[in-house]
Amino acid sequence: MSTKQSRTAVLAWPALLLVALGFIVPVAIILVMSVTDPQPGTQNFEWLATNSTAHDIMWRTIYIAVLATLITAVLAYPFAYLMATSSTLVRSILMVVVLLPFWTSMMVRAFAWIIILQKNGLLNTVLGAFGIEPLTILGTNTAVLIGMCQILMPFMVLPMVSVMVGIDSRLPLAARIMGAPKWKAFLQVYFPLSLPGVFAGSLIVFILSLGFYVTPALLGSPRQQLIPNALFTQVLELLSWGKGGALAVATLVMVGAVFLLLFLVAKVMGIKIGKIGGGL
Amino acid sequence: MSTQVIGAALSLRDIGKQFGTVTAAADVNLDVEPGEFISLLGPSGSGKTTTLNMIAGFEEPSGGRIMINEKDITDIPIHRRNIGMVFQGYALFPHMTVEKNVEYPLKQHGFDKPERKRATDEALAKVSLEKYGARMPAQLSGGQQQRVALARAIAYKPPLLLMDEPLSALDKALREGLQTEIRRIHRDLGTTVVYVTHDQDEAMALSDRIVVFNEGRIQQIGTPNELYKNPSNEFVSQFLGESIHLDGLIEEQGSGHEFVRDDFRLPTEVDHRGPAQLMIRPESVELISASSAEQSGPTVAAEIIDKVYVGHSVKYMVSCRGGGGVVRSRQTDVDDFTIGQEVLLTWEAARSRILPLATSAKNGEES
Ligand SMILES: Nc1ncnc2c1ncn2[C@@H]1O[C@H](COP(=O)(O)OP(=O)(O)OP(=O)(O)O)[C@@H](O)[C@H]1O
Ligand SMILES: [Mg+2]
Repeated sequence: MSTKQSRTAVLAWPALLLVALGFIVPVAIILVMSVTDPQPGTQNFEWLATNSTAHDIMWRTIYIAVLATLITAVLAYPFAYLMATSSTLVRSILMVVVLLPFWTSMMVRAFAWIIILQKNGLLNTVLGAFGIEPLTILGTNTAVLIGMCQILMPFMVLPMVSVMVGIDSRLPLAARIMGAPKWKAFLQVYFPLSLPGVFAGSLIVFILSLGFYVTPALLGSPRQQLIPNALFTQVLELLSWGKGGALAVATLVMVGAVFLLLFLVAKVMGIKIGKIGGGL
Repeated sequence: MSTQVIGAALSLRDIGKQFGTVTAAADVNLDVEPGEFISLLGPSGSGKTTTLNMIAGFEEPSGGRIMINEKDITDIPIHRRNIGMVFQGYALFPHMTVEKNVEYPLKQHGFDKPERKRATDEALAKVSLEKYGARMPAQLSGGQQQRVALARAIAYKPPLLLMDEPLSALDKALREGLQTEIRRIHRDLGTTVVYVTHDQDEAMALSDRIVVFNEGRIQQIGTPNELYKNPSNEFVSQFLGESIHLDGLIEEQGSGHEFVRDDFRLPTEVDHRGPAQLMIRPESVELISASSAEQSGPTVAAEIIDKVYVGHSVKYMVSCRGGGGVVRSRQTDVDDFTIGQEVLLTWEAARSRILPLATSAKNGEES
């Protein structure tokens, strides 16, 4: 490393320190606790491997995370496309629309959904006016998904837009003058080129959706717990740091596996892995 | 060897394009013969790309009709126009190999697999890139990418080929090499080519005819020779190659007219009164030293302001009262003028052209 590089490397220290203290140290502690609490041994992981409630919770969490990722991807893509292909003014307006939810807290948004989705809420009142039976949404996974997707949308839209604005707008035109109808030009040229953005967004959204606590707590049901809520119960209510630790380690492994899977898929599809990072 | 295509006839009738208050193109009328190589030449922002984009269907004309082989295509969607195109800056598909890029138009036009393979190989061979089929565009040099773009446009042998400054991003040597290649491909294929450039030398070197654009309007249409020898207005003469310009006035003189400056008068056919400009091509002007007495034609006192050696000739930039420009002389003839020296410009009166100013555009088109 040249002296110039080593001098500028100093700039990275505060961030590195924060990551070390705020992330690596606690994770290490949890790892240790998962094999030492209440006594040294693998009993926490045995519990995780054999307890069917824990399995249900894990599968449900993955299922919801996958659904949330798919739904946000499908909803975000046309929006991002619109943003990337419109004038600077329209793009700025749409950007504000995307970022608007960031200006209100998750808690407030969850309560807003309660008002809309509850038994005598806004949604059912409107449906009732059309003579449609009231729906039971609040307290189900559907409500959790709705709440999560709304919060996660910007994390999907932004990486998509950043990749899409980099796509040469003449490429679909080139495809069209060569005889491709509009939909083919999109499918064969624009869409494949936008995939790095879809991948980057999906990765972020999937990982984030494994960690939602407030939304499922307020919109879901205690009988349909997700990992973060189960963790809370284990650690703060049952004071079982070991079991909580095992659950956390399992989540970490899951995230790692998804990372690996996406990178492999990207590689097979010929998408540059560097580009996924570049899309963030 | 490859089969020839029947080049398409292209007609633009009163085409115009308005972007809000900006007139990008207006009153464009043009008939291109089947198999002709025609260039749209003009300075930046003169409406060349806009015109080309309307032919391709990327922009909808604000008025007028576009015909290919007498058929009105103005409202036909882009992909059914049967046009090949080379974009400025390549526009290769970055996620496809060179081979897949070249194959793409063939696929869209429903060629079967063996036919596609044959046509792809042939097109790549035409641009000497047979060995590069498996590469990605990013793994090629600029010149190679441009050749792939060319191969992709000619692979399915479109009867009409549009090119928008295809060589502008390349250095001089590469550009000249590819110009030769484009000319050869055009000859081999027999397709009609509409070629956009702002480089007059390139237009001169490649085209059967040149269409000169300025501010969205056609200034003149003609063969390179016609434009060079008989520019119909000041703009065309200025834009097409170097020349000497001298400002003066046209006055009535007896039954005819005369171009008048205080250093010489010349009879002229131009029926006009008022400001005018006399134009002489650089090779028609002779430089003689200020003391020289042998003067057969008109003479103008001038000063040499710059001197450039180009191959076998010397280019002198000269400036004089109410004019100036470029003089070219063979190095063996005259190499003894220095920068700052006072000289005389002289020429055969018949080799100069007189153009009225201001109303010049209209007069030019009528002639
Ligand atoms: N989409 C657009 N919106 C508004 N004005 C435009 C648009 N496209 C082109 N113009 C204007 O129309 C005029 C002609 O542009 P055009 O691109 O045809 O020029 P050109 O001759 O191709 O120039 P260059 O040699 O620089 O490529 C310019 O003044 C340009 O600013
Ligand atoms: Mg242009």
